[in-house]
Amino acid sequence: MIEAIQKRAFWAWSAFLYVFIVTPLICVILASFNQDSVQTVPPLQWSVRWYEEALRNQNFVRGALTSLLVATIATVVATPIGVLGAFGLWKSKSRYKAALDAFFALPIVVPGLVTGISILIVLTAADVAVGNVKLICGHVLIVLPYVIRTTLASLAQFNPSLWEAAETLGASPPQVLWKIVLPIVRPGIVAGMVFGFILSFDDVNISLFLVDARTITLPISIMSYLQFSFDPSVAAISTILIGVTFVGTLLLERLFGLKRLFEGG
Amino acid sequence: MVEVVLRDIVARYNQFLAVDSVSLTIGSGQFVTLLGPSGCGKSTTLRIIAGLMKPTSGAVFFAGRDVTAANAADRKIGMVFQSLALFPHMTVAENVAFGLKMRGGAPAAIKKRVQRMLEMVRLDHLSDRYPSQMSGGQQQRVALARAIAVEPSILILDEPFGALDRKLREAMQVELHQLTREMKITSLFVTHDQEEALMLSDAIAVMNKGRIEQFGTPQEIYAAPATRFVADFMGMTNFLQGRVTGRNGNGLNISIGEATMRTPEFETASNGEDITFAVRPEKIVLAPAQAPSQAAIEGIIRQVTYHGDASRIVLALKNGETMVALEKNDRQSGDRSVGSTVWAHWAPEDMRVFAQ
Amino acid sequence: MTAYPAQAMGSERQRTAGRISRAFGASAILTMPACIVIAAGIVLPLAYMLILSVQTPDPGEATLSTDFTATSYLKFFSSPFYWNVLLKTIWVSSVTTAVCAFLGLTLAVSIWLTPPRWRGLCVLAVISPLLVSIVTRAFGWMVVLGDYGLINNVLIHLGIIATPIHMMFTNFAIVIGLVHVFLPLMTLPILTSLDRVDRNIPEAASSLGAGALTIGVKILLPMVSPGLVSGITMVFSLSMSSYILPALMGGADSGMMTTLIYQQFVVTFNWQFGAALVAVLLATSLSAVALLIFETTRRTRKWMVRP
Repeated sequence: MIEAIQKRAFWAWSAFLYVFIVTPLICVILASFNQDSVQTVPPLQWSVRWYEEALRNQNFVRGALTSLLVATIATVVATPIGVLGAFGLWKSKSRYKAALDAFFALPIVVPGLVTGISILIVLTAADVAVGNVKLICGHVLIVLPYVIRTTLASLAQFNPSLWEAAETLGASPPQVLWKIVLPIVRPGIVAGMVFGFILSFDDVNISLFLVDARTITLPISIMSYLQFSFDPSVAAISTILIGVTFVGTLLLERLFGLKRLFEGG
Repeated sequence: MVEVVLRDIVARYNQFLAVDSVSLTIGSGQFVTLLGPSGCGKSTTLRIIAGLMKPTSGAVFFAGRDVTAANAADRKIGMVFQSLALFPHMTVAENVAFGLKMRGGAPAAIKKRVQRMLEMVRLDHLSDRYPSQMSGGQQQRVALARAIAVEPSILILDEPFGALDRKLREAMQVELHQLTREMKITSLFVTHDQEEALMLSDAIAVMNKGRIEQFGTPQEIYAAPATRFVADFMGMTNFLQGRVTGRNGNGLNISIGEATMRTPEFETASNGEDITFAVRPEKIVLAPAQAPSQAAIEGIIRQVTYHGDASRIVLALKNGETMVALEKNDRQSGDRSVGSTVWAHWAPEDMRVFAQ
Repeated sequence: MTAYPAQAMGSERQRTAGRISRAFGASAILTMPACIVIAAGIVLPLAYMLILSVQTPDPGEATLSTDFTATSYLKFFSSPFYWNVLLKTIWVSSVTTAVCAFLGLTLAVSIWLTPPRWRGLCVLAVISPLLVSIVTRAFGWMVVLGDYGLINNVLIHLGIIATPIHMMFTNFAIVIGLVHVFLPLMTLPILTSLDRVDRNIPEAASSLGAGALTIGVKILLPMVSPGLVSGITMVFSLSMSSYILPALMGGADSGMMTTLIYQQFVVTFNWQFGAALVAVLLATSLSAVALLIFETTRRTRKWMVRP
């Protein structure tokens, strides 16, 4: 009897937790459809006017373009570096292998705030003033560790006999890497790229210190808007962001599995 | 020690019928084994008796009391799992004491009982070790001690020795046999290994596709299998087709292809009826010519393989069927080369007859 | 035998290539770019920043000299105001971590008990918020907790209260926001640990008479401690260094270290002092984490078998 009550209470609590997790996002989506300039949930009157407002907002548009540019370049730069690094680590027989693995995880371990500040200081001292360049420098560090991680995870599942078979058939190590290993771990690499891209696009912590008057990313422009204005255009642009992220999430789940992405090593 | 009775237990998952109306009585202090291949329903039946699963219909009784609605914690059972399921973060002593602590009891009394249990399995000198610090055999004994410590109504063992190597398995079987007889514990054992079942049990229930095909003593199961499945499972693997040609004193005359022989009486057989009979490969004696007094059939040797103390010889019979003989190598006589003709003999008492 | 000269040459080339790669260590070459990027992007700037923290305070100046001074650190440690900020940050982070740990444990167990059919969906539901920008998530909470937000709306509508409960810009709001953001990061490692538990073990405990709560606390909890510790260290560190959420949920005067740091770098340009603040924050965070890891490793090493 007590057991039945305990069981029911537990599942009710679990349901509450799931509600807790999705509520803020659902509210953002609902708030974006408000007719008036309020954030009531659920909306008193429904309208899509704030979507038009958001898409007309120059700051949002500029921010979106910059975020897109920076994320793309950062991903393009970080991916080959990361893939090579993962291959190197995978093939390594050195006793510093574990240390290297930890070293590659540094950008994730060091708080974004600290990374952003440190890079700002160094770039200022080096007199780098172009906003986009500063951002790209920071964002490469966002994408890199995840590309390494997912590639390594895929490599861990690679059957070593395939390498040996290729070698006995006459392939040199670079050929094996290029023709055999790379195609097989490609889903992992792409997963890392997609994930890194999303994180770069979403990033605030590092970007906060690398933006300036002329360069701004979308999340930061949203944040500034939030601080003096409170109309549903924020909700609208955020909903668009959520939608894009959702597509990315599904893609990641298909390619690689979300749980694996976050599993440590 | 308690008598456990199952009445018409049915277990169905979605559309799959795992247990199909099983009834069984495990006498107080008896060691009963559920024997059968994977998927036969033995593990499901075991879990229903343990209370880890509820049957779709039917009832379970412990000492006459209906416990079908009770869960595992309330049935006072002791269970040994195949993976042992020892608590890794507790010492050996703490593991064994766990069930006693759950049932409440003075710490001093618990300590004494734990000590006694560990002495019985000869692990009292390792009571402060952790499972990860012990060998496989030692871990087995801890699992056993933990299950027995609570003085369970029934000791339930789910293929506990499956993962052990042969030597260790034999040692554990001997130990289990001794322990359960000494303490007179009602025990239920599940395995797919017929040798293990024969060695340990007072009674065996052979299961197939959710039903009990035969329930009897090890001797009955081995020498007098009731169905074709049981015969096959217990190693009586030569199955031949024959036809009844008439009565002959206490037995029947049957013909197998061109050969005729006399078999033990098979009650429902009538003249002209087709029957299947089975005989163990070990019971077949090969000779160059037919001996008069025994059942015999002619065959051509197709394959011979060497197995140390015996050889396995595959014969092709005139009617197209195959027969396998397992012949001790020091009792061989005559030509065993492939293609040579031999006569296979066996005693009529060694045959078992089944309906088609 | 002279039948295959071409092949002989091919293998000669391969042998040479093999020798070269062994001499230079192919792995070293492959990992070089990544190492350079991380060294240049993280290690170097971090070191630079640490050295900046012991420079003479000079607004807007970012160059280094060998004139080391502890001015910034003294400024920090001698003021009760700054101590308060640090303590408040530690307090908020600790509360967040504790709440997150409790919620994360129950959530992980819930997922672990979920039938395999629904499990993927549940994990997806828990993880996907991580891919949404933190600004959006903070905004979501503003909509929920605001004076005219979801909660107040519902409560007033149901007649339970007459005037809105003021929830935004309080410590409560910060904790809720942080817990929400970090819950998945706490849940996943615990779930990973749980998945390693032999499912026969809770059954064995049940067969020995243990009730559900006992099994959870006495059997499962110790067994998931690696995952729990992993989650706690992650959440605590991230809470200590989180800026966006406390800034948006707690306001500009939220009294957290990160807000203070932001001001130094973007408003007052006291970069040397800001660097010192970052150093203090990092040191505090790392010490707490190191202490926790040390304690728990000591205790679990006795019985833990790494799979």
